[in-house]
Amino acid sequence: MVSVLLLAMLTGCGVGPVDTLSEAWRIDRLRVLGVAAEPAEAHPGDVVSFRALVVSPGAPVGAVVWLACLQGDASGNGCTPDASVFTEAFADGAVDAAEQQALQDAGLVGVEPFLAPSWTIPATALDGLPEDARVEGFSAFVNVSALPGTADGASGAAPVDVEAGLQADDVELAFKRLPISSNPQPNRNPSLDGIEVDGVLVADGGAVEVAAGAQVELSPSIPDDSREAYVFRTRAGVDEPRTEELWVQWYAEDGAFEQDVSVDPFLDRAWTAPGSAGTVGMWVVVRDRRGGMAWTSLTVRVR
Amino acid sequence: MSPLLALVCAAWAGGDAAPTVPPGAEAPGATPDTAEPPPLVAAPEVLSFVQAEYPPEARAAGREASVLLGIEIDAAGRVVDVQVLAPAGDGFDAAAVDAARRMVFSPARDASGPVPVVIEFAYGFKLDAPPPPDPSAASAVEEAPVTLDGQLLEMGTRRPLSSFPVSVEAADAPGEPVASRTDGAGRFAFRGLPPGRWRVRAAQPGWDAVAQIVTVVPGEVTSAKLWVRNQAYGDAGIVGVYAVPTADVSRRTISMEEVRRVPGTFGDPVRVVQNLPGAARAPFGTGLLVIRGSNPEDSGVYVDGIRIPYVYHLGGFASVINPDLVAAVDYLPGGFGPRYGRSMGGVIDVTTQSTFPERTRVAWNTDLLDSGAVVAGSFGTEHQHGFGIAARRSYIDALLPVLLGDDGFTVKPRWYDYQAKYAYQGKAPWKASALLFGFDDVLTASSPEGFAQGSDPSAQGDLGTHYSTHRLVLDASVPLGEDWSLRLTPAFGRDSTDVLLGDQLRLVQGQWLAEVRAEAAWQPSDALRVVQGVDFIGGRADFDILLPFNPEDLASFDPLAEREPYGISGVQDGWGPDTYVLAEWRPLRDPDALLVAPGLRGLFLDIPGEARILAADPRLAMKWRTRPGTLLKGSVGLYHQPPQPFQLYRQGAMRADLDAEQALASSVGIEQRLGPAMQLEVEAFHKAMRSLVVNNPGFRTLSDPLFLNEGVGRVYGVEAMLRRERVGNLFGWVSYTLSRSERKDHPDSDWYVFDVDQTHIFVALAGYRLPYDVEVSGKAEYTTGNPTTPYDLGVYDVDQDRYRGFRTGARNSQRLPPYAALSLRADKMFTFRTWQLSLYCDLLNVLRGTNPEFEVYNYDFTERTYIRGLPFLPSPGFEAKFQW
Repeated sequence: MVSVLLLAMLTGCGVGPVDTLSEAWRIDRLRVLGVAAEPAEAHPGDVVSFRALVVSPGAPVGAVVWLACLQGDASGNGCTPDASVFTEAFADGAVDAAEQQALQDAGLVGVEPFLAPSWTIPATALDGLPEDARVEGFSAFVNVSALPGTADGASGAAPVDVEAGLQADDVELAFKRLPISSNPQPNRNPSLDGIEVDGVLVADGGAVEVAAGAQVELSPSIPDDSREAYVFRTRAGVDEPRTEELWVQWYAEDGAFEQDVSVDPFLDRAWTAPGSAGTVGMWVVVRDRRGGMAWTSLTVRVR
Repeated sequence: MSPLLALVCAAWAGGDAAPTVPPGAEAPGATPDTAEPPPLVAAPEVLSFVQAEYPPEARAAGREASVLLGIEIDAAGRVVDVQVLAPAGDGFDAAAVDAARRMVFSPARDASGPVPVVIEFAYGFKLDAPPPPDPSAASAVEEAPVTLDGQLLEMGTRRPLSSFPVSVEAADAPGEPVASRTDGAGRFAFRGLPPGRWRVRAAQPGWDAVAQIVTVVPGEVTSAKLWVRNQAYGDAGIVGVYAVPTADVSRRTISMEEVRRVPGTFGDPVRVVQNLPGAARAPFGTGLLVIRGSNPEDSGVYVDGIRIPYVYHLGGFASVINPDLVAAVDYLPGGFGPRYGRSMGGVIDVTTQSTFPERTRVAWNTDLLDSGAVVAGSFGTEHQHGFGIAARRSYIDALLPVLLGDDGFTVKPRWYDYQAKYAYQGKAPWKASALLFGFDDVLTASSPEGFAQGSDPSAQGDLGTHYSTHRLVLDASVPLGEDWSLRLTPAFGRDSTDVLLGDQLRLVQGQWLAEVRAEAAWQPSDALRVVQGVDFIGGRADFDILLPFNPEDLASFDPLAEREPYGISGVQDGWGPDTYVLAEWRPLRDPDALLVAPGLRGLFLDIPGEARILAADPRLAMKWRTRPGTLLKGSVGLYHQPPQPFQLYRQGAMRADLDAEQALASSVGIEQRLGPAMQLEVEAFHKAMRSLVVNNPGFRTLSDPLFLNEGVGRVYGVEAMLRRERVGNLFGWVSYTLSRSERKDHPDSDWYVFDVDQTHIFVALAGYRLPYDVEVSGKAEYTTGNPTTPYDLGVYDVDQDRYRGFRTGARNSQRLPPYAALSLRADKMFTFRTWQLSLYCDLLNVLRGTNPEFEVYNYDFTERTYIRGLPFLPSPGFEAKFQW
């Protein structure tokens, strides 16, 4: 079929999408691009903190609501809390202590910018697992809901203005898995020093100038020790040494990527600047496929 | 060649026996008070004339005679009975009957297709018959020496034209021409022509008149060779699409040139199936066979009665058998008898050529996708050994790098197929043939170093798919006495399918197969025919599977969990004889008035250690001609099919223990003749399916079965077809199907519309032959869009960097926009003396409709669009035919 499709395209009559769809790498609305836990792999009883890469071009982020749960309270799309708890707690506009406890029991672990997300892993989290399965563990879930803010908010994050007509589609929903195990060498998040633009390192939050329409080579600057070596015990009981393989997701507000994903060992990508001057935000997220994550951002000034 | 001429020309074969009365045709059994014979659009022609043995006593006595015979010819053109209507005695009758029994005719045809007929045939015996040509010139020159001779040949085919009128007249002083006819070898001769310039002329309706000036020299014989151009090449081979008179109530037979010119078929008669009632439109480039709402794997594809796994090459644009070797394609959307088994859907049975030309023919065909060649001919005494050899290869793999340049991406689709057939076509009562065929398809795709095939490190690497099939099919049939005949068809071969993705995913499987069909037919009278047979199918499957994860991890798939590659390989045997018996009972005096065909098929499949499947399928078909031109038909039957091979395997000592899937199918319909060339067919059908194999939602570990027999389904609808046979220059048909196909996977789940359900399927096509061997044809299609499942804004899975859409409606609760397309085709044939060249061009989707085939969403399921289907695609090609 591929051949015929190619032939069809060669004859000037494309087989392909009728309309052009928006691309994942182009950031033009409120998005959650990354969520990292610290530690990246937790033991029962650990206190885990979270942070998220939430971007919202041209508008502030209102709030980020965090939920966490063990497997039993989750579906394939993350935690599934009892919605009535939230409805009742916020019904009168104020949250009393009892309602606050109910919210925590329902899995609420943070509301940024008011409450930094943090979750204490239940000490009994692994109790249901056989001893030999605890090293591998299982994944808990963390839900992240990013709400848009209004432009007239206070300093820092803008408050959520529900009265302005917030729609369900305005909320960006995301979820992440958090490995919980008794692994003596738990996974760590990778690290990212910045992005090399045509060989010049730009640290997180830095800026670089690029000519309009120019193509630049982007390379994530990843320290050597980011790719962890570890041991996996197979079902047959054989210890198998493995090394993490990283993959990178690329995002920008404008321009065009040669490809918006890259996989070890070929992590570099080309990016072509837009044809007119301006400022373009760019974000790069690195994942280790074991739940670890890191990111960096830079600003490209197109001249 | 007209039937009359065919019979007349047979008169001079051997020079001492001749039919002298042109044939009259009548429907067998028709009587003046019951029915008017259906009008024939084509009478039978003599394809193979058999010279009778001249009775020695009669020769010694110097006796000549003519025996009037009544020859019954079946729908395949075979002589099934010969009666002496006017005896001549002295051994003439037996000699004529014996010769006539071994003759072969082209089938007679009425508007419904090939039909059995009885013709009158006068077999003449003459002593010392004058050598042809018959010099009908004036008797005054009869004894004069031959002064001018020659041969008349058909342009393009080199075929000698017999019994063709040839005349000469003085070129410089035209007067009364001298007339003659060619003999069986196309030769002619004139005696006693005075020296001078003569115009030799050959003319006959249906042929372009040809003339040549020759000079007759005293004392010499002047020779001339005339080439005559046929005004309608290929007509003898045109059959079209017919409901042939068998016990299968829905069978339609497709063959020959007419349907090869249907737009969009790329000259492939097998692809015409997709324009017939009951066949859903396959998404562009897939070639899926969705017949009466069945899964593609529910339909069986056969070549000369032997099942093969695929009927199309990659992309579905070319069938795996070279069209030039295809004699007919039987399409049975349902209601088929017990000779076919292990299919709940439809059946496509490709029959390859079994008679080959006396003169060696070479054809070369090239189109946008591939090129192929066919050599066919015969050898031996009286050309009793026929052969055909064909091969074809695609060249897109060579073309694409040239067209696309080297950017690191390579897509190499490639296929080839081959066929070699031998057929005994002599006069012996037995028949034998051998067919070796196969095909091999490869599609590899690779990307430049560094290009990410998605974000999963284990999914990187090149993609490769490869499937192939090779078969040797032997076929022998022999009559056993008056009432019995036996047919044996053993076949051997191998199928293989490989799928490779990088070094993490490998699915390699193959199977050696041995199949034998043994079939005995008993026909004690015209009213009863009983066929019983055994289909033995045995084989050994070998497989080698490597997955990047353990299947047990699928139930609680965690993308962050460590993956443990899972490999399994081994061999598995399977065998089982299916048995069948079919009775065709024609209880009325007119055998075509009523046909009752009960049958029974038994399914037995044993896969040691995995499953043993037993099933019995009783089936009944009836046809009732209520009055001339009106046929009612109906069928009901059970159809079982075993699960797919991969579903019948479980690791270790666990048994798959799956049962056969089952369908109870019924149909009722009418065929109504609307004139000598028009026929309307309407058929309603229903199919209830149960024990369908579905995924086990409770699968958690390998100790749980992966599949269960708990799906059910239902399909119902009406098909209609209005067909005009090619009479004159026009042919075509209108086909419409209204249907609904639904499934329910588990007892507690909801019914849903089948994935390829198409409520309305409409096809109208027509072809018109213009002068100068130009033919134009067109096809209009309209089908309901395939069902889709709606999704909306999803939730972002951070670990996998992908959104999961929220389903906003039931499965398959929406549909793609309808599909509509208009396609055109033009053919032009050039005829030269010794070869012919056909140029053609298919113009697909000339209206450039959008024709969505698949629905796609953007990354977060907030936008939706369609993958455009059939593009505007001009597809030119040519075919050259040479004859020796």
